[in-house]
Amino acid sequence: MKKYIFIVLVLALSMILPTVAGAQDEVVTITWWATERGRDTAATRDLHFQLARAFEESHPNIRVAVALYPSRGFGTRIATAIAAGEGPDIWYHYYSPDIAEEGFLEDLTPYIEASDINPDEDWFPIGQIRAFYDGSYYGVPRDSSAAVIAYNMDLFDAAGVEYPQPGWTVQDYLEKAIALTDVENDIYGVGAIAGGEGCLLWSPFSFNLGTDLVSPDGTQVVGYLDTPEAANAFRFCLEMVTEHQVTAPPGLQDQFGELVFLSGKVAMQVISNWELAALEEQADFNWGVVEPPRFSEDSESIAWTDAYVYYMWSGSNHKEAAWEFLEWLAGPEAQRMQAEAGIWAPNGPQVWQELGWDEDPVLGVFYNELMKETRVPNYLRNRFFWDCVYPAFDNVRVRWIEGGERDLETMLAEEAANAQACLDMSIGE
Amino acid sequence: MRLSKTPLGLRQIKWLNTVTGYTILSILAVLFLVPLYWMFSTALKTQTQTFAIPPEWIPDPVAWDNFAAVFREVPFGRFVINTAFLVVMNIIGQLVSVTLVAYGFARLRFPGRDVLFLVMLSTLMIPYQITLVPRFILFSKLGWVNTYLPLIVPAFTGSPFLIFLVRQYIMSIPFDLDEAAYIDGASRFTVFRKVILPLARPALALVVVFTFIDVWNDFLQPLIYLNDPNMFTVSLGLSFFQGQRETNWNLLMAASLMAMVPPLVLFFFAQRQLIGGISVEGLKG
Repeated sequence: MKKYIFIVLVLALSMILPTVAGAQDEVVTITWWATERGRDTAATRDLHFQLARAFEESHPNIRVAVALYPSRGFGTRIATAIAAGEGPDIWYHYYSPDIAEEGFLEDLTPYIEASDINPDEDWFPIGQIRAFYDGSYYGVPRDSSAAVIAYNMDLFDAAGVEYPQPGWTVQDYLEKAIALTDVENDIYGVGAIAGGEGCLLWSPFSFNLGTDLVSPDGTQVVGYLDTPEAANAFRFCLEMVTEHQVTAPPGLQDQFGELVFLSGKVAMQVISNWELAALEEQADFNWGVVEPPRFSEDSESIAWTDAYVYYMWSGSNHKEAAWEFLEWLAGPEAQRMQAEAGIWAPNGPQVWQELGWDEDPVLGVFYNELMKETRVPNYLRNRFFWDCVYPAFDNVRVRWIEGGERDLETMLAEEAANAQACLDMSIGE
Repeated sequence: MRLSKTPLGLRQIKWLNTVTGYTILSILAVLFLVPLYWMFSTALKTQTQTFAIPPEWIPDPVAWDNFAAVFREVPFGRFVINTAFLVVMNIIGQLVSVTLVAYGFARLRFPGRDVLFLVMLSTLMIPYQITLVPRFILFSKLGWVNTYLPLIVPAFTGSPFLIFLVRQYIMSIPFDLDEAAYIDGASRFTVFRKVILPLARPALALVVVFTFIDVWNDFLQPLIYLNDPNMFTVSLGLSFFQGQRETNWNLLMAASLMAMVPPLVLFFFAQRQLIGGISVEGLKG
């Protein structure tokens, strides 16, 4: 009897073992969806495949299927695929953190806790908050960017104006802009972004005008957008366009700014490290960068930084493999590769230091910003921002600049009430 | 009583009218051409020149290399070939399906015809976004994602708008012609093929042009159904020059100029048929 049991066991084991061994050798294919970039299109595309191949070399059981899409429409592509149950395992995008409520993002906190990643040390502050929602991480930072002020030294010299220095204030900025503007010769103190809603939304000014225009979680605008401090902030940005007339023509403000700055006719321009390559390659004048101005000499400068984020689909069938790739992408090897390719800046201080970027006279300014206190940009605090809150900013700008209205307090009260009603309804749904 | 002599003769008045007309038309033409010229001019600028202050109307130096750069940055030639293939297949599909269905609605009498026509027309009112996900699921279950089938097969089921257009046109063709052919022993299909189709040529030209422009410019469907960049179309290719945070304006304009050429050439050759078709639709539709 024992003999038969032994034979049965041996047979059973002989059937199971190859399966187990086979499972160990089984190659898992994960999908990685990404977007093309407007500049360095081919180089950016190549980088994705280089990253995937490098990962596969060190992880022979995982294959990465890369698909690249245009930026425009990428959100629709993702949403359609996820709605149809065919989402990618991982992708990067630009969601507000509260998108996690919609349930399609995997909570990465358990993976991060079980790994060697220490967000506080490994990632810049923006990476720690950019996809952090309700106590959990729903993404890992792909890169980092910071905004600084680029200035045209030649224009400063010609106008006899001192270069801006760290610690300067928004009032210093305005005074320099006025002193540098010479409309008859098409010279403007400031270029794109600085006037209108760009000043209040996607620039370092948005954090350094003495108030916050939207609540930290993005759900409240009444009590933020309609305060006297908010009115002063709006006034500062809008008067640059109308009263002081120090901004470049509105038609030239579509781009993020480096191209307007490259015209050589703009003295100061908000730029991020995304625009740095173009400046280094194409500027035919002397230029420098300086930290953005703070609200007052007594206040701390708050950095305007940002990051794209890698996400994992909660419906992925290969979560372990997907996490291995995510961890690798957010880790030093991949970060070094993307930095050396000149495509994205690393997501944490370690690789910046290894590359000596923290000591570089230009990159060091960005590094310092990335290490400072920061906030999630206004427009990324809530997923209903563009539908509900942005119109308030835009309407005030239009009413001020095109309509000639000057009663900011009334305008802001009206627009804040409308925005809040929209937010309450959208969040309630 | 003698009529006072007019200061201008009839010939001079005619001449003045002609000159005034041409002058106004020329001014309007220039106004309409300004954006096109700006596009052409931007396509020949360097990145820095695109945002020069004051704006540069005539680029100096002229960056002819932008056109070559488009092909270096993205496989633009491949995109053109892919799109041309889709255009041809869609035109074939629409011509086959639209003419048959429109003929049925225009000439055949069967119970529920008008209700069916109304149902078909009402599908025009369903926003595309509503059917986006169900269609994706359907094609996904069929294993058609990342193939051209979702972009071609629907054309063989006919576009309601084009069916409506052709049906109206066929209805304007006198039924006497059909009857004459029937008396001569023609079958229904022979009448369709030898009487209706040749007479409906202006409407078919409209189908060709509308389908061409629709497919050539379609962004959303290729985006949704295609994963492999080698299968992408021109409109997707153009978007490659627009990132989340930056736009390569000079290359985008160079690529857009090249993308404009095929529809322009088509319009150039088809304009007589096209305008004939539209005017007839306008009068008799």
